[in-house]
Amino acid sequence: MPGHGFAMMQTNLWVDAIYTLIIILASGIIYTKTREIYALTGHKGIKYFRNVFLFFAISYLAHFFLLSPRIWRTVEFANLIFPTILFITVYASTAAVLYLLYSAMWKKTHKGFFAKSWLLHVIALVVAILTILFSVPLLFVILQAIIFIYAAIMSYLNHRKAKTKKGFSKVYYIYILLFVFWILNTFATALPPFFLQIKLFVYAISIILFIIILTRVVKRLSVKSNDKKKG
Amino acid sequence: MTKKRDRLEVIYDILKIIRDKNNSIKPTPLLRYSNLSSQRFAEYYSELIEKGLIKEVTDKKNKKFITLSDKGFKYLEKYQIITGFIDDFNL
Repeated sequence: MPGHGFAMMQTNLWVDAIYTLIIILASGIIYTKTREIYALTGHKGIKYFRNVFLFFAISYLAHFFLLSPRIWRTVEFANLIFPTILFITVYASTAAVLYLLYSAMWKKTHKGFFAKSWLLHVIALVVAILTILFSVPLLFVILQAIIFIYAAIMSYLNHRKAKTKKGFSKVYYIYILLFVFWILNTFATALPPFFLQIKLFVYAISIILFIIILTRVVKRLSVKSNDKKKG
Repeated sequence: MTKKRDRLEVIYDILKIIRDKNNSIKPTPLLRYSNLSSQRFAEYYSELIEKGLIKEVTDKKNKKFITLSDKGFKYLEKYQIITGFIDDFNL
């Protein structure tokens, strides 16, 4: 039934477009809402946090174009455009994942890797170049997973070594889920049209995660300040 | 033992001293009230000037005073929100 198949593809395209739009909107609001407090303080943690959402927005947008074949296949220079969009997707998503780690770890590890934020862009660039060179689009998912798992283990070991009474913050769990669902999203978007329900499930959870963070940001920044120092 | 103040807290304290002194104070008393070493004070002072949180003004007798800029007042106003945000997201 070619008509049914076409309708499925249309539905998928709309689902992808609406999903991408919601993620970009949520990320954009988080980025703009935190602009003022970053301008006032120049705080590194806030800078990394904002960049997570800036680069996630870029990567989700590029990813949408990457997996919407009817958009780029109609373009004459598809051979050039496809690798370029793939490069942007890989570079931006790797940068987003690394900024996520930096924002959570920069305070605890002042030396080495986390003291130099430019290194993050070098790593993102290397991952993007490797993905293009080997022509294996999913290579970046594996590389990102290795980086994230390594850093998550290091973060947990640091936390245990520090012997702090504070528990592992809830935010860290949201960060881990954000990464897991970015990976799942990469696979879900590539699923054939008839796996729409799986795709919808992954998209729904991703949207919920972004909305949780957005709500928390808005709530935190809307608190009325009475300019009295804590403690 | 008192807890070491973090960077944002030191900036808050310096700005608050200026505001509480009718938004006009000379550098030497500011150094004294800030409870910082001369070297650390100089670092913070340059940073605050560079970021536009404070301004230097010279009176008719050619004496230098420090005042808060609009951005400086904004910092004081938003300080609680900023620290709450940083704590909440473990930044």
